[in-house]
Amino acid sequence: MLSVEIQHTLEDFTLDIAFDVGNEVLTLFGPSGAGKSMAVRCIAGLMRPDAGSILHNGTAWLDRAARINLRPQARRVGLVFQDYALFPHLTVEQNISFGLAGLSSEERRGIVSSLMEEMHIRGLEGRYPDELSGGQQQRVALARALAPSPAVLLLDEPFSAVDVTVRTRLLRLVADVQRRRGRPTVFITHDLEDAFLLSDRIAVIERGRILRVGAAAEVFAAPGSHAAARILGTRNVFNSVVIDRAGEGPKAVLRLRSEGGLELSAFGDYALGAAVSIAVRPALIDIVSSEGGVRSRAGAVTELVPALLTGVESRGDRYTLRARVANSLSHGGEVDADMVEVDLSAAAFERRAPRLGEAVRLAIPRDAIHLFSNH
Amino acid sequence: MDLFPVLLSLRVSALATLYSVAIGLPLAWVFAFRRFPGRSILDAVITLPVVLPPSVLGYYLLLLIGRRGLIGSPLESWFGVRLVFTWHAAVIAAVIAALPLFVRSARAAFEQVDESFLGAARTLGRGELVIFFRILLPLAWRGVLAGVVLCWARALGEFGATLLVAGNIPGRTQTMAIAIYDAVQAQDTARADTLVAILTVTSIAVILTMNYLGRGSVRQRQVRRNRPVPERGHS
Repeated sequence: MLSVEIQHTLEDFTLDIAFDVGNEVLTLFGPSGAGKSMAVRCIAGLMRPDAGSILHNGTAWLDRAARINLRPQARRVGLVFQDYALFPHLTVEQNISFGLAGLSSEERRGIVSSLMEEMHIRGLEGRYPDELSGGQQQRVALARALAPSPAVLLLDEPFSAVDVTVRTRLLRLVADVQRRRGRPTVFITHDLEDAFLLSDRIAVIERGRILRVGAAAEVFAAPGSHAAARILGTRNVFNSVVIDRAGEGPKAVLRLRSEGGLELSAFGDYALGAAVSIAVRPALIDIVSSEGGVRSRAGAVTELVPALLTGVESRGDRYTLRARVANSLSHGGEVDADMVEVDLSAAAFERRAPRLGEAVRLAIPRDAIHLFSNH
Repeated sequence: MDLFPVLLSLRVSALATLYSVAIGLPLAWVFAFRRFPGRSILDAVITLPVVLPPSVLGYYLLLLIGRRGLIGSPLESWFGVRLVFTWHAAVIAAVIAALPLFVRSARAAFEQVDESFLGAARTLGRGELVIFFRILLPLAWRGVLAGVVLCWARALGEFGATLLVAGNIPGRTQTMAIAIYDAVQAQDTARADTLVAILTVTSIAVILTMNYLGRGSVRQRQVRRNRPVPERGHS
């Protein structure tokens, strides 16, 4: 268990974060300059924050108040840099065994060869880093970081420089390693798919602050704030007002109306007249023809919203439809009608065969509607 | 022709270079990576000989190692060792004059090594001495070697301070640079020409070596080129 709590102030920027990492992958997700790399460098001991503490299984690696600051050498951290930082003058084998001090050469060879096997880089022992492809360099960097059996693994955007197919394979490799020998792992990325593939939990960071932390799927479904929704690239976020309310507590049924005319009911605990944001993931929305009956999932209440199909885009394995919500308010042209995005799999797209300009109804399961308060 | 000045100059400059590297490497490391109070003052003191007139430098050295000097006087009364007007004084003068050139070059070379290599080595648990010899020095060797060559060239040509502390004693302290002065005074043009030719050829060789070293290692360049653009801002 790694407990991090650090504050650091630069001229125009303040890092102020706190999080715990168990035997899991915690992703620090956020835009460039959010302070993710700075956090990782503090954990590794390559940078000393103004204030805070870093505890590993109760041992203080850093405690500014108690004037404890272990050297990076004493922290047992495996760090994979964004640019790999492989020693250019050492061979692959020498790179990987660099961290294996105090072992017999036989033991060293054993560890190196089993790691190379695991990383699928056998046969590259005598090569120099500049003789390797990006993906191979990445594997060597990972092997080098793992060789001394670190207590904590830190991955600082390690996959940003390799292409998509290589990246996916590497992510699976890391996930495998993690499954076999779990250790607190902090993974930095600004790529959503990477984050989803590898994370157990995600912390959304912006300008030095954690906006939201939680299980990956949960954070994506419910970003919790406009800022987090923006960083996560959440589509279908609408400002609305509670216009009716039935029941009590978090399971109260609210009637919401957005500025752009979207009107639907959802569960939530907000007062009448409260300004609330509606977020619906595009993949959870289905379309039904305006005459057709409702084919809802068993037991789920489904909202049906009339809309006009105005756009279809192919995204390779899926399609994104854009539908303009039909409503009376925006008819005068004062406010643009809400545009709702719907993601359909290629198969669902073939079945529905939607046409541009077609009047449809958007089928939105009530429990897929996420609300958060507006600020 | 008397070869003594040539041999003495080679001996003095080689020893001065050796001492400068031994003293200069730790100094360059400290200046490149450590912040401490008095850092800029120490830096100024070490660099001073570059701008100080050689005769002024020689005068200060006399105050230090002269027979009544700060170090020279106890050295002579306790150990019976006299430094001034021996070739050892020439070595000392050459070190003082050449050291700053080596420290500057080595320090610049160290500062150019990407910090992430050193960071990676530290997280891999290795001590600073191992990192110095196995990572830093191999990655900075061109700049360090350029510093060695520059330092040696400066030591070889040292004149003013050497004349003051070691004198011009033929067969004992007369180095090449001083022998040229001596030959010109004695209107021995042939001797002056020979020595001037030797030093000129040496200097051209030094320049060519520096240019070659300055071109940078192919391997390091490629590693840099392959690197993705680092995250902007605070990372």
